[in-house]
Amino acid sequence: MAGRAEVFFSTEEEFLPEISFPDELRIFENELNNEAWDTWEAFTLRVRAEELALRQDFEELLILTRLKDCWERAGLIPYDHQVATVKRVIGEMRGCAILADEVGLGKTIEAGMIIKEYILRGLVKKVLILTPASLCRQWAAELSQKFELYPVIARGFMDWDRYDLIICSLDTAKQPDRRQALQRLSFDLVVVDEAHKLKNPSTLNYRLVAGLKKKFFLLLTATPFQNDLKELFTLISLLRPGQLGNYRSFRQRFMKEKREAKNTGQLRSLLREVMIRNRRGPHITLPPRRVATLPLAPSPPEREFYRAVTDFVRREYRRQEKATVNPLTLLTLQREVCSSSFAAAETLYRLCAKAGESDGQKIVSLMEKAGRLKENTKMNLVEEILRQAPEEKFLIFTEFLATQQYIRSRLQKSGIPALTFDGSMSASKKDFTIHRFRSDPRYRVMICTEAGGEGINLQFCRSMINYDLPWNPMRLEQRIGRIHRLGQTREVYIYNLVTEGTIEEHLLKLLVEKVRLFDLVIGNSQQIIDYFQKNSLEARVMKVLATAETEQELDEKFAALSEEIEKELQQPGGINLDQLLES
Amino acid sequence: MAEKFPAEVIRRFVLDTLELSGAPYRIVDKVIMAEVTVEIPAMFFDPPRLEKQTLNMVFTPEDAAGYPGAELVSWGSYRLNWFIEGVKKRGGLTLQTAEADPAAVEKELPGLRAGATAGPVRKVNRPYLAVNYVLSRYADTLREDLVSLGIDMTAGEIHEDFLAILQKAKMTPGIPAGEIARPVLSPAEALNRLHQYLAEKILAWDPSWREKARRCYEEELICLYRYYHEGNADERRVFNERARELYEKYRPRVTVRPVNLGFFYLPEFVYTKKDAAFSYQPLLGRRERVPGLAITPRNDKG
Repeated sequence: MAGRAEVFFSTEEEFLPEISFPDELRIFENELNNEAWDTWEAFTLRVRAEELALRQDFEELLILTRLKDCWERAGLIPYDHQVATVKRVIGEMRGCAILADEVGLGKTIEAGMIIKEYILRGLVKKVLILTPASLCRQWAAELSQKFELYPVIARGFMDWDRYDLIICSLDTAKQPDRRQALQRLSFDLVVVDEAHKLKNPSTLNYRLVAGLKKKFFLLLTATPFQNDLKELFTLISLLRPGQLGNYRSFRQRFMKEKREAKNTGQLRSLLREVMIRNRRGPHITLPPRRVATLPLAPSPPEREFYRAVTDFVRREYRRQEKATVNPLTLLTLQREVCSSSFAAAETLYRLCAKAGESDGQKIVSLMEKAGRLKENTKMNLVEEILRQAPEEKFLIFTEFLATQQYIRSRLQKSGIPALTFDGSMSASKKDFTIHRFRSDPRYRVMICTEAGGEGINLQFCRSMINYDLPWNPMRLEQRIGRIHRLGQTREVYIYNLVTEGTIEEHLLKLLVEKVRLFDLVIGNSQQIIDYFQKNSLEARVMKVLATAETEQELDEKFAALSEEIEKELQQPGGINLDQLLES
Repeated sequence: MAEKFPAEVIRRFVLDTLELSGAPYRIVDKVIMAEVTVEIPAMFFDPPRLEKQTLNMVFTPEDAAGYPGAELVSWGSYRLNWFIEGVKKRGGLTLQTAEADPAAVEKELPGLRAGATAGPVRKVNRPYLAVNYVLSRYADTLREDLVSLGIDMTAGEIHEDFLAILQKAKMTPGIPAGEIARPVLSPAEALNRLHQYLAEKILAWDPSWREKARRCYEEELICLYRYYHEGNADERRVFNERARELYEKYRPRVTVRPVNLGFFYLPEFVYTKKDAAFSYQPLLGRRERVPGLAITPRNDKG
């Protein structure tokens, strides 16, 4: 294609305006045939109305006045950084941008603002929003409640042409027949949420999005790349091919190696032309977090059960290939026993059904121990916390359904009605449950399992209890992120319940003291996210647990692991987006 | 934009809209309290359920602070838009006879009479077609303008800002009782001429808006080229597709949308002076010789 430089130039004629004239006599056919003459006052008032509604290339945003009432009702406060983002995308960036705000700063809100602003300005009519399936309904709810936009969620076969505002999951959209239908259409605006799923150009996801015809284009992701500069190149090139040259020239100019950039000054200014990343800082703040770690002593039978299960897990784990129980199941069992005997009992029951004679005996004895435990000491503390703050709404998080059921029935007995929220619920049931929790004063408590932790926004609540700890620090951050995000106006309280003498106690200490997880606000430390994505904490904890012979040895090994992680976290990682974008 | 429409303009518009719709209202200090009929909910029922609602409206932020619970109606607000959408259902077509200010006419007439050498000074009603248009110029941005045109159906002359001319007149609905000049153009022909006129006008606009679009387009093309220039045949095809998309985004387009149509009869006084026909058109503020203008003393529908 070299040598065809003429393609850069358009002709004068191509940029003469194409004018389309109306057929006035047909437009006013009915009135003319019926001689439906209106009054002079109506005639002039009509012109004044049109004058008030003229759309212009304004500096100021139309949404700020148009949606003022709607936002008051929905409790949405447009933040300065969001308004500035919308202006920049529509102005300088000509409607093509990567919105890479840190988690919790309202990328969805910014995208909603841009969509609505473009529609009000008359520049956009046909919009396609691609999101992970789990977020379709939330997008629809946000758009209708906060932007007075009423999208259609595309599922099976549909007449894509008929709807102007479509939300579709990436998985649905990439089915061959739907993909073809979508790629035949021309969209004024395409929005892709969680756009880091497009980092690989050979995937269907990428090819689908690249093949869509679009005028304006938004990609939303808090993590445009992780350590690999090629991912960054791919994403930027999807948005605006050529912004970073082609891959050959990009490698030459900007890559020292896979994870190390050069000419960062130039790269930075190219990135800033197409990417906006708002971060927490002096201008964007959240109310503080208060974290209380509440240790509690288990009852003697609880302690005995914990020890028995841990011994079993340790023995099985050490048998390695000869083990009859899958190591993942062992990990689950160990996590369950930290949560409650009820959670552990379920896995034990399943193991028992599969186990041979000799193993079966051991498991049955464990089950008997579990069966004798009718209560869980943690619940006393939960009830105490609830008693002390009778006006507050509380989110209680647990990883396990059995624990969730137990908490709920215990609260029921104490006269505290509670809602449950878990991944198995249908989307409409989830919406309804959240709505109830928000508006029904009878329900002070909602008990969520981990599956319920992603993507839902519960800023109206500011207190949470971690009944057990997820062993993956990012899942813990996600839990906190449900209530500690933009829109939260009050201090946030986080209660961590830890049973003394359990692995959880060590884990929490590690997360609090070494990772400083509760101090940081997520995204503030991309490095930590990256770190735990690459290094599974669960596996390392399990290894420590399995190899330690005595309590003391466990303490020592855990301390060593903590030191190791602390040191690794302090090491300068690979390339990081925030370093790249900062001057 | 907000400053282009100060609070008083918005307030006036709301009051006139209430007047036109016949909705009862009261003005209490700074607040307009109006009882309006709204469709609830507009989306689900056909026909929608109609319900009376009381609106308490203020027009400046200061007044909004002074009257808690009152709704601030300002440019771009939901409520103003609601009124605008309502008004758009009215005033599409009108037929009016215009009268110039009698005092001004009275002042001119004695002079005309004195100058007339043959016959009396006759009053004739000349038919005009008035069309108000919204012109939308699109590239990757949009700008809209309102243009008000009037065309003389007897001679084809086109006047800009025609609404401003009409607003000087006193209107009486319907066809005038007196003499009417015979139209030469059919409405379709008249509209055709308006389109030609608009096309010329649009091409004569300051071209900076489309030059800017062209510049942006070329910048985007250069960028695109950097990505694809070493590509194979398949990538060349993708390049061409992308380039077409970009052209679609930036190419300039103008759509012409009629807001409303009006048939107007404007007064004209004609007289003969030394074998030539003269005409005085008070609303256009001009007196001119009209050679060969046929004025048939007949009543004729516009």
